[in-house]
Parts: sequence; structure tokens; C-alpha cells
Amino acid sequence: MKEKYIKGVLVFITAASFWTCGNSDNVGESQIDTNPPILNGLDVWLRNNFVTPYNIEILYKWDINDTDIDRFLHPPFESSVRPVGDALQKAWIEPYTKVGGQDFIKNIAPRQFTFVGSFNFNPNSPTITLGIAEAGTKITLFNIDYLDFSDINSIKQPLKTVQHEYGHILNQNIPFDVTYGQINPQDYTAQWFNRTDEEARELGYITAYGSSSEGEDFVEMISEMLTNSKSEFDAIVEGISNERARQIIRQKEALVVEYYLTNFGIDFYELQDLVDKATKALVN
Amino acid sequence: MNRKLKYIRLIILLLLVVYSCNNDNGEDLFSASPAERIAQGNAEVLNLLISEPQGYKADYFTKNDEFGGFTFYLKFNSDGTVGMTSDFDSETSIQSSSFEIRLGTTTELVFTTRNHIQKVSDPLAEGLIGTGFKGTSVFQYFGSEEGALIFRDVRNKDTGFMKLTPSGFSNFETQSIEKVEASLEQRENILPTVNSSVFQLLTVENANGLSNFDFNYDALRLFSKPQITLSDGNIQEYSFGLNFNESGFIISPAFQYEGEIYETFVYDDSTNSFVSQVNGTTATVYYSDTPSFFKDDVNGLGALGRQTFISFLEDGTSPLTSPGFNALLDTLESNVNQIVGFENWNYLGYAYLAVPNATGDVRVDLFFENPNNPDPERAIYLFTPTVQNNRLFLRFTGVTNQTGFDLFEALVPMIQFWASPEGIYYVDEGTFTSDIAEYGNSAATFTSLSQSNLRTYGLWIN
Repeated sequence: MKEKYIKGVLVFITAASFWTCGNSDNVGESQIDTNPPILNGLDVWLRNNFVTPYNIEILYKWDINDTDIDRFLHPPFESSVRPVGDALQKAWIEPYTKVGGQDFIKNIAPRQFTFVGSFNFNPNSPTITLGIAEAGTKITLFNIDYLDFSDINSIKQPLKTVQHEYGHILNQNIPFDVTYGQINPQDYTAQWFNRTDEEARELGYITAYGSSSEGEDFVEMISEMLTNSKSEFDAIVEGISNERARQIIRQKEALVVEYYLTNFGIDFYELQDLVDKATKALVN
Repeated sequence: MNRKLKYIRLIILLLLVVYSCNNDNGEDLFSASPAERIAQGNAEVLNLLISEPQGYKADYFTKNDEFGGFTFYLKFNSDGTVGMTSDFDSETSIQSSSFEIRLGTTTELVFTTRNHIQKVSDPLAEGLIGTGFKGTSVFQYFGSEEGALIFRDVRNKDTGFMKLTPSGFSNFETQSIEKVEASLEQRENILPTVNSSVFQLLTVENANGLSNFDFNYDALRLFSKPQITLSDGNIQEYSFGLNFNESGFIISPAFQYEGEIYETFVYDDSTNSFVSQVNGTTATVYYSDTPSFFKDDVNGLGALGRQTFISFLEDGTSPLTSPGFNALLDTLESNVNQIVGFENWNYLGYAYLAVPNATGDVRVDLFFENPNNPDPERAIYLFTPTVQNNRLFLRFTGVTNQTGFDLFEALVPMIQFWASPEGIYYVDEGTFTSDIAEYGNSAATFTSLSQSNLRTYGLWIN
């Protein structure tokens, strides 16, 4: 009894002592400037078309921390931003929304894009980086000042990057079938850049980069199929001379199609057709 | 025992809680909160920028240990836009883009969308692929000095800086473009022309007399590495970047020599020179008829590796071949084409055979393409060589083949080049590099000291 009494007193005192720390002053108004920044017409368009409907932010105003500080890069012309935004809307968001439902992109999407005007040269290497995706939340697109909207291949360049990275994001939500990586694992290599796309195709990979690992292989299949019409993609596959390689790529194609249907209820070929029509409509 | 420990723990906790209520009542070091001070710092810079209705002149050195700088004129507006022009290239029209003042490591001026100023960080810049001029879009504010606002590059913080001074214009739109176009003209004035000597010197005249430096100007990087040969034969090198303006150029870092600091050079049209006067001393950049110092490379001619020298058009162009020599080659071809029967011949190049023959003569062979003959044609001329005071003297001694006779009159300018009465200055130039080729062969130049606008560059093939 005595013990209980002591415990009770101690608990009471402890609780009371917390209250004594309370300061009677009320918290005043925030000292942080919360005024909205100056918005130009482009900012308003981006808010109305990406932030409000999809919670996707498009950063085009320079912040040195958005990219590798050691690279020599520069922001885009303001006039380069909207055409790329349009391309994302028409050839990525709208087709997925049509086949996957109104909330598809709202639920699964990178939350931030960064647009960079200049080419991103890799130091000590004859290569450039076209895009970077970080943890399924952010995609950086480079050289948008140099895209030629009268040339469909130029338009396809950023779209392929986005379709590729979006494939990764879908995989992060629902992994693809492990049997995919068992189809032809023997020729995956970290030195994929020593292969041409044509050489990789003869080995059963749709691109050289696709021959780097099964994860990249899967999303390279997605991005190649979504930046070519079905007939164009078929022509690529039929152009492969090695019959076994053709069969492998068809097998991978079937797994991609099944992945979309089983997990998201999406008819991949319908999506492919919509993306193709939208991409062609973007050409000036 | 356990129970006792529990009580002790509870009591310690209680004491800690009681002490945590302690009010330090410390004195405020700043009257405003951190957030207010940040906002105040940003507003201060912003107000300075937009308070100049006629904008600022910006002297921007991206990295003054590697490149020169550029002049920009910037007009900042309260709506977050900035209009600007620059002397980076001939596209000088005023363009509008966005800017912001932000807190980074300190208050920063960020040019948030592309405009003239991003030309210095364009990795597609010709000759500087991948890096451009290593410039930035982000500048840290370092305060003001004598009415100028000082900004530094976040990356090249010791070598990259931008200095803003009020433009003083009455009409920003027209005067800024006039200024940058005048600046571009000054950038041309420093370059060699068809008639100017290839020996560009920096000469300092002070109480100790004259000191001559080879200016060694790199027009691509707007960067100079002046070299002086000291009395003990050692070479001392300096380096600085040039930023042109309407009256000449400024350099960074400043050139310090024998106690004086030279920073601002003004163009003197009458002498085609750039002059900096400080405390009664003068530094001048000009074209001289002779180099600052005669190297002794000429003594190696005829030795192994210095026996056959060639200079052919198919190996590409180099700034070491002077505009005057290129004009001479055009003259040769034109002269040849005026001779009946040689109308369609094209000049290909020449060879200098530095090993004397049995009679002690060296040879110059000039090669031409004859559309009627699959093999190149050649005109051969002989010279007797002597070397004096590190100069090569070639005395013309004759013609040895029919083509040489046929084309003699047409090729006189070339013969005169080699037979320069004042001699020829020969210099080893490392390995061969041109706009289209890089070879491991040793390269060299020959310059006429009688016509110092004529310098030819080529390579040794054995």
C-alpha cells in the first residue's frame, strides 16, 4: 500500500512538472516568408497542368543542387519548357490515363521533373547522359533546348527516357515476373556500352543498355515498345537475323504485355497505339 | 535493492525535468530572427539590383587561371526578369530571362533561365566541348567595393567572379549594344591580320629600361601566358585572362611586374597597340618585327628528326600559320594559274629538305596537283644555308628542274620568303596539331624576319 502510494505521488509530480514547463506566450505569426513566388505564364500553366491534377512538379528554373554540381550545365530557355511539358502530357500522361483510369498517373508517378537546357557530357568519356531518374521520385531531362519538334526521332528522345524511368517506377510498385531474368541471363554485362544495339539484338536484348541487367532489360523493352508503333517494333524484331534472338525478344514482349494486363489491367497494345498516335501528332 | 534503484532513477528523471525548465534568459545577439535576417539580406541585394533603372555593367571572369572574361550589360526588373546583352559572340540583341535572389550558402543571385550569361557554361562551346568556359548561373554575393557589387562563383570561388557597376547609361537598350559591339571590335584588334607581324609582345618600360615578353595569346580562351627570358637564360612565365571592353581590355589576375600592377589596357589605334600606364611606367601589347628573344632551336636543323620538313594543306590549318602566309599561298596559286598550260594546277604544299647536298645546298620543293597527271608536280629550288645569331639565312642558288623554271616567276614570293635578307627565325613547336589532325611528329615554325607577317607551320617527317 505504502509503495503504491509513493509510486502514485512520484507519477503525479512527474506529470505536473511537465506542465510547469509550459510558456504562456502564444506562438505568433510565422516569420518565414510564405508568400507565393512570382509566377509567370509558364509557371501558371505548369501548376494547372501538372501540379494541381497530378501532384507533379516541373522544375526548370536553375538550382545548382538539382543536378551534379561538377558538371557544366545551364538552365533551358523558357520557350523550350512548354513543348516538352506538352509532349509529356500528350504522349505519356494521357495515354496511361485512358487505359489505366483517371487516377493511374496520380497514384504512380515521379513527383518531380527537372528540365535542363544543355547537354550533359560525361567526363573523360565520349558519351552524354540524356536523363537521370532518382529513386522513382524524380526524373531529370537534359538538352531540352536542342530538341527539334519537326523531327519525330528528336521528340522520342525525352519520351523514351520518361517511358524507361516510368517502367522502373511501375516495377518498384509491382515487381515483374522473376522468370523474365531467367530467359537469357548469360549475356548481361556491365560493359554493355561496348555493344551496339544491333549486336545486342542478335543476343536477344532489344538495346545495348537492355543487355546490362534484367531490370534495365525489362524497362528497355517497355520504352522501345512505347516509342515505336507495333509495326515499327515488329520490323525491328523481324530485322534480327538470329532466330533464337527473335524468339527471346518475343518471349520478353509477351511477359511485358502480361505484366501490364495482370497487374494494372492495361492492354499494352492499346497503350502502344495511343502513345504512337500522340507522338506523331506532336511533330510540327 | 532493485526497487531502490527504480526510485533513484525516477528521482533523477524528476530532477532532470525540473532543470529543463530553467530559463536561460540569454541576451539576443541580433534584433531580428534568423528568418527575418535572411529575408532582409535577400531584399537588400534585390533592391540594389532593381534600383538601377539603366542596369549594370558586369565584368565576369569565369575562371581566371584558365580563361579570360566577358562583359555583360544587365537590367534587373522587379517582376523577376532580367534583360541582358553580352560581348560573348556576335549575337548581341537584348534577351529577357528570369533571375532570383535566394539564400544558398549565402545570399545568391541565380540566373534561373537561359540567356547570354549561360553562354559561358555551354558545354557545346567550340573547342571547349564538355565544359565551355566553366561558368555558372549561380553567384554568391560578397558585398560591395567602391560602388561595385561583388559576386563569386559557387564552384570557382577563388578564380571566378562577377563585378557589377552601374551602367551610367541614359538608354540601356541602345547603349548597351553599342558597348558590346565596340568590345567585340577590340577583341578583333588584338588578333594578327594579314599584314601584322606574328611577334606579339608585352613590353614593360620603367626606370630599369625595357623588358620584353612574348605575349602568347590564346584567342579561344582569351588567355595569355607572357614569357620573359631572364639574363641567366631561364624563362619566367606569367598568366592572366583578358576581358575586352569598348576601349581595350582589363586583365585578371592583375599583372604585377617590378613593383607595379597593370590591370587596364587601352587601345591606341595609331600604333595598333594596347597600353597600360601606371606611375610613369608603361606596359604595351603590340606587334614587333622581332621576337622578344631568339631561341637556339635553329642549331638542330639537319640532325636526325630535323631533316625533312613538310607543310601540306591536307594536314589542316593551325593558328601558327599566319594569315599573311595563307595569303601568300593564295597568291602563289593565283600566279601559277595565270600561266598558259597551268590554269588548273592546285597548290598542295611544300617540303624543306634541311640536309645539305654535295654542294652544300638545302632544297625547297613546292608541290602542285596537275589534273592531267596522277602524280603531284614539283618545283625545286636550292639555297645555301648559314646560321648566325640563332637566325637561319638562305641564299638562293638556283633551280634544278623544268617545273621550277616554268613556275619561277609565279613562285617568287615563296622564294623571297625563304631567302629573307634579315634571316628566318626557326622554332620547335612540340608535336603537330591542326584543326583536323594530331600527329606525334615534331612540329616547327619558320618566320621571315624581313616580312614578319609570314610564318609557316608544319612537321618533320624524318
